[in-house]
Amino acid sequence: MRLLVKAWQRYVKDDRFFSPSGLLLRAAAIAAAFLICHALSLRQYTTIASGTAPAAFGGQSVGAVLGILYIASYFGFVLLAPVLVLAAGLLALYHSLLLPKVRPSDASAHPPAA
Amino acid sequence: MLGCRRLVEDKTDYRPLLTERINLMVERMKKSPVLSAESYPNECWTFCNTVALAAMRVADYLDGTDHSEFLRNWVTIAKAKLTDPKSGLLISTYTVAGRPIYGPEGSTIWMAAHCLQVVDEDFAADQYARAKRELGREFLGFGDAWEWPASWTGSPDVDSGPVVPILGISAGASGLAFLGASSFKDDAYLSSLLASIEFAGFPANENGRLKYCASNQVGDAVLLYAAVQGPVWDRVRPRTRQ
Repeated sequence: MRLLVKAWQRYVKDDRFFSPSGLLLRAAAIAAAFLICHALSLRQYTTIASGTAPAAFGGQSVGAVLGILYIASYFGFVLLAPVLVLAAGLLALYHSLLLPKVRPSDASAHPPAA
Repeated sequence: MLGCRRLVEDKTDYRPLLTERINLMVERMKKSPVLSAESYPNECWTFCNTVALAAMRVADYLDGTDHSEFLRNWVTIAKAKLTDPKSGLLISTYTVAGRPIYGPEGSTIWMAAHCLQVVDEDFAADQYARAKRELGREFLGFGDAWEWPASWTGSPDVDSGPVVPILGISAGASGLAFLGASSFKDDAYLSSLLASIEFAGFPANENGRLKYCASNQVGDAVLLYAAVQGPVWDRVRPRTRQ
């Protein structure tokens, strides 16, 4: 468990976590999760939202879990993924327009101290 | 159901069946000081009793009977004894003697207001306006309904369906709000409810048939009724009767 926490902390501190590609990767993962749930026709189990126990091959509790899984992936896809994509776009724009660019001549003018 | 079926196309076999049921309802309701019959032992539901009142009005229209005095008395008693003093909404459940059990509920009031339209249009419109104010919500084009007004604390049951924590959204109340908005031609609220169900009701088109996967059979029936209701009520409203 401690290893997992440390790995997560390293990942968060990594520059790639809040990079445009990192954000896009997470949006793509959410979209993929939703598409898999949708392709598996898990939408039919969302009747759990109205308090009705869905019938599933493994019993009602399995149906309920599948329904909740679909609902979570759907709202992730329609609410969270677009935000991540927009954030990635804005971040990419910020990087390309506003961050000072290091020119090769600048780098050679100030060589690192020996 | 019998009365509405006869309004669409009358069938003589159904007339005695309707009369028998109406007489039975009136007889049982008159035994209570608040003119209400039990849905469960010593538990009268406004939902059931307002449906009975609407059935009487339909029978009056079809068969020339006259329950207008009974209907007037019910409304008078309801205003005096069956309304929540804080919100002015009809309470949902009470004993045969008229002692409140549960307060106003979204899963009851929208249907009750719809049924009361053919009993006392002004009272019905007032109940709808109060329900909309106390329970209805619209935000960024999406609409929903609470099960309980802010002044009342209740707990989810089989009628309310699950209530979304913090947001307070009730599947039962929001579904029946369709009927209220449709009955009172509240197009803005109806559109917002429709936006919500299209967004979060998980619609599915199968073989040309629309189904909301998050709903159930009762929910589907309510939505269908909300979509088609109107012509029958227009015929039996007291003011349109010649």
